[in-house]
Amino acid sequence: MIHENEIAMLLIGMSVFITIMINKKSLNRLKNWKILLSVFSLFLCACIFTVLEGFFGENIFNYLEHICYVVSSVLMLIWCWTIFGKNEGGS
Amino acid sequence: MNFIAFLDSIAFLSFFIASIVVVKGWRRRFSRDTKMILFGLIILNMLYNFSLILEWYGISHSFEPYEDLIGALVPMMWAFSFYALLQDTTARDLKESENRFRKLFEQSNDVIVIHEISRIIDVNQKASETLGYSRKEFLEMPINKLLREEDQHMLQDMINEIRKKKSLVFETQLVKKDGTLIDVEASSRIVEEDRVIIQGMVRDITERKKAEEEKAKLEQQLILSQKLEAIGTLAGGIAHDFNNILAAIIGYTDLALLDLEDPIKSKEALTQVQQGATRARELIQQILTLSRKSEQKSQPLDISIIVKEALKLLRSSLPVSIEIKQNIASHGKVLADAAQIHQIVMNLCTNAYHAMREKGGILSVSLKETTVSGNDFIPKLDLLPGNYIVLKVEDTGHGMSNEIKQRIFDPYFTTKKAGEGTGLGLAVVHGIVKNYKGHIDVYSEPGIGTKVMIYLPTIQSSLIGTAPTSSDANTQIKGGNENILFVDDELSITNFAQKILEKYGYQVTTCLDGDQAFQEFQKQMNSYDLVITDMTMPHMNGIELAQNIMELKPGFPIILCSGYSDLIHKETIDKMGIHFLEKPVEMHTLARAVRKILDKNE
Repeated sequence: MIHENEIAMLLIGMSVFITIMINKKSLNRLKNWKILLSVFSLFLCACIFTVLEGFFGENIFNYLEHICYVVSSVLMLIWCWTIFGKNEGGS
Repeated sequence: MNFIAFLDSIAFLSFFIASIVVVKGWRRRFSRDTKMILFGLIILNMLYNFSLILEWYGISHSFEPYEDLIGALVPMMWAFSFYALLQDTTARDLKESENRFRKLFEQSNDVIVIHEISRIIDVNQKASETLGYSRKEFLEMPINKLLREEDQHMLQDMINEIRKKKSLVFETQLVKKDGTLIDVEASSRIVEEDRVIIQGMVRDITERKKAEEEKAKLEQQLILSQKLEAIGTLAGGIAHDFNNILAAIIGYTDLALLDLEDPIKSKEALTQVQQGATRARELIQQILTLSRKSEQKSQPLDISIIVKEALKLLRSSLPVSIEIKQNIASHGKVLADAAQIHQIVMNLCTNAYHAMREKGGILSVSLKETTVSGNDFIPKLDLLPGNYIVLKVEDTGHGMSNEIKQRIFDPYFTTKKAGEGTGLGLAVVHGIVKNYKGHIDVYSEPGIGTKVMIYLPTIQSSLIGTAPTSSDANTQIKGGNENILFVDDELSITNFAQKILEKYGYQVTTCLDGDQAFQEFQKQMNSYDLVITDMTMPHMNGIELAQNIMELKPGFPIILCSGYSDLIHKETIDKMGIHFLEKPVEMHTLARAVRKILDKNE
């Protein structure tokens, strides 16, 4: 079953992703940028899997969706830790 | 709890911990707005995962509209987060870049002043250290306060020049706060054309200037010592020549005294004495040319005469194992200083002598004319089209390798042993030749010899003044019956001059010093027609005597004689209208000069 909010999430997510890719050079200057990009990419994958599970392979895509969420959350924690947790840099 | 709910719980927990990490590290990195957005993103993700957990427990139905809203907000929040992070990073980069440039500006070893026309906008730390003003004082004062009073009016011209050329490099002096001056090299560049904002970089070159002056002084001393060294090298030969001349003079004088009754024999002996004395005078002239340290006086010069003179001098000082061959095929004139041309020949020949000292050989010196036209392609010949005199000095000595050849014009470079040469010889030659817009070429082969060719531009005949003709010397010298006062502190000279001049019919009164001569002149001012005076005398020198006489009788004809013309300031005596004769004066020269001046005054 396809939910409208899932389609909306996917569309907004895709447009954000395209914007990121366009500004990749500038965003590349961010510290641990690749982790942050992975977090967002996994979130986007989760959105894709959510939509796909409405058409076929409901179980497998559902698992994949939630695995993506959990990996994405762990990576986000790591990124936050590297940015705010370590004793370096300053405001 | 099923597996998916377990995964969602882990995700929720991770976001929860992440939010704590962000809160705990709130003071670090990023701006407040960025941190708020990031924190919002984490909270939204946390809420979304929480809603997923609730869904698995079947209690999400009442939350469903909120779950949809949160789901749509999460990617939007990601968009805000990326934008905020990008802005933050850009701002941080900008700040870092500004700090870096500020550091460069502040830590520069040069003074940097940024000014809008005459208003100072910014200065670096070095400016305060160098000029003594604080940053605040700089910002409150006009830039022309840093300039000397006499330079202040030039500020506007300089700004216009900078606007025109975009940048300007110049040397000037700046006034420090304590009033002292410093020499600086300034490089100004326009930064903003509309507002006329100029960035000036100023380097203190006071020490460099001092060092340059010291170096120039040292170089002068070295050049002088090199001249003295050359004199030293030649001293043996000169002494030998002088002894020969003196032997001839003494011998023939004895003979003349013995043959007093036989006028023919005594005349023959005296002619020999005269010839010896003439040779001695020429030798003195050559030494004076070499040792003269007066400023360069370029004049149209037949350098063949100088080359011949130098070779004559060298012949007496070089060993017989060195044969000198000369081929002077040019009498063209160059605009040059005789002493410098003499120095070129002496330096080149001395080098040739050093190269052949051990085994002997042939020293060939030639002078010829050549023309370089615009179409000529002469490799390495850095010359403008025109006529040139080529002085070639060739030896059959040990020659030199390419490595040595490349360094021969370096000042102080020498292959000679310590004490044998300063290494300035060829550097001096190179400097002189370049100064005359000439060229120097060196060909050398180890074991075969060295050939040095010097190209000097000849001058057009229209530039050459009329030289005295030799027929002047042969014309009949007229005498007269005028009254002459002759002054010299050397009794033998006054006696000689009196006899010579009386022979030509003149009435001659002699004095042995300037004081006595002036008193004599005052007594019978109107009876004298001419005063001939020596330069160096006790009590009153020749110039002072002439000045005193001129005060009493302006325009009175005076001849000043001196053996060392460097003591005479030519312009001064020309201004005073005094005539000059270089000692030793030959009989006919003196008689001719006296007659010429007396005739002119009539």
